[in-house]
Amino acid sequence: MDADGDADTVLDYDGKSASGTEAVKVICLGDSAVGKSKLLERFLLDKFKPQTISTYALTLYRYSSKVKDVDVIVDFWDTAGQEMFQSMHPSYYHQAHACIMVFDATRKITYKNLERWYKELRQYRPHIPVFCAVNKIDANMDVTQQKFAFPEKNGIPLYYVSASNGMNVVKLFRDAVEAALMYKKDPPDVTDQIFQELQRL
Amino acid sequence: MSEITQKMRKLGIRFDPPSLVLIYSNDKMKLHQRVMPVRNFNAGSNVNFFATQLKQRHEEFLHSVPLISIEKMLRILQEHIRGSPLESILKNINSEYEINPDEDLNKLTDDQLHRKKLIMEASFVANQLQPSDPDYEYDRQVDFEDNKIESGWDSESNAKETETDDFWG
Ligand SMILES: Nc1nc2c(ncn2[C@@H]2O[C@H](COP(=O)(O)OP(=O)(O)O)[C@@H](O)[C@H]2O)c(=O)[nH]1
Ligand SMILES: [Mg+2]
Repeated sequence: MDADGDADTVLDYDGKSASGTEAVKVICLGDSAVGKSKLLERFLLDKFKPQTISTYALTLYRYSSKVKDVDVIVDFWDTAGQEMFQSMHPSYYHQAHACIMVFDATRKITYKNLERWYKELRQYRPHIPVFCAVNKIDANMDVTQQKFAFPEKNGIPLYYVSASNGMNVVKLFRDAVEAALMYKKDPPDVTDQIFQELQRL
Repeated sequence: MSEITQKMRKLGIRFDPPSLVLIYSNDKMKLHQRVMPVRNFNAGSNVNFFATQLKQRHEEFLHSVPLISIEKMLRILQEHIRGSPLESILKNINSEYEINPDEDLNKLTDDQLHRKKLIMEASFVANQLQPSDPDYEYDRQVDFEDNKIESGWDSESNAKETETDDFWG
């Protein structure tokens, strides 16, 4: 087992992990019971080591993978009840490289609440890549014929998924991991900053 | 295990003496009634615990009855013990045990949320494809075509009617 095997420590995601492997942080956001945990479980099957960090009411799943032949450690952060406070602890967003926002195909209110989650996310992480997933399409196939204004207007890709039958789940997570890695290598906010500095000269 | 070929028809609750009532039919389609006493149950009892116990004690009859249905009956009994009028009991308990698509589940307590998730679990399990299933595919991808219609979730109109059930679950 290598130095990064156990998820008992929160990594410094801006740098590399102890063993020198690239590490990224992907967070999940959305209302209670939309299926965030089930989606993660479906993607990871039993290859993960979940770790509950109870102080912040969150669960961390550490996942080792290869993206384009490069080893990468991905920490997926999942909430464990913090939805109750209608907002996340700032440490949840800290250093995140990508975000997956989930709503429930059978409950309109979870779609409506995306606005609020998104607003909070952008306060902390204005530029990270965001993915939107409508989950439980197995229970409401009609949504697969439908479009939604929230992702469209924010330029966020929408994935039609089911944690139950597995539809499009792996694609969603792989795309998010890849985007997280790209973001880490070339964070647009830094470039933006430099650009702004240049303009000021 | 003795295989009793019976089909659950209805589950109900009787207040005095407190008991769970199951109506079931056997293979000849004849209806039977089974009355199962609920002992030492009070206003503060944990319904999940009592439901589990009942299910174990009457396994033969209750094995195909979802735990959540037994819990629901015990909640009705509990509210009755607390002195609530039947009308309001049925209204409140029904909403406890159904998913209202407009209800904000973020605001629930852990217990309440757990109950809602148990109800949702039914469709999850019914539709689930696991590695042991022949149709299972780890990376299952389906592209849904592009010409989509508005979902209706972006307009503000909101017509919603609530339905009420009766005593039987
Ligand atoms: N039918 C169906 N149910 C699902 C699906 N994903 C999750 N659920 C159910 O929704 C409930 C909430 O799921 P959970 O992962 O705990 O949601 P979380 O609170 O967002 O982490 C559970 O009872 C699941 O069984 C899905 O794809 N289809
Ligand atoms: Mg969860």
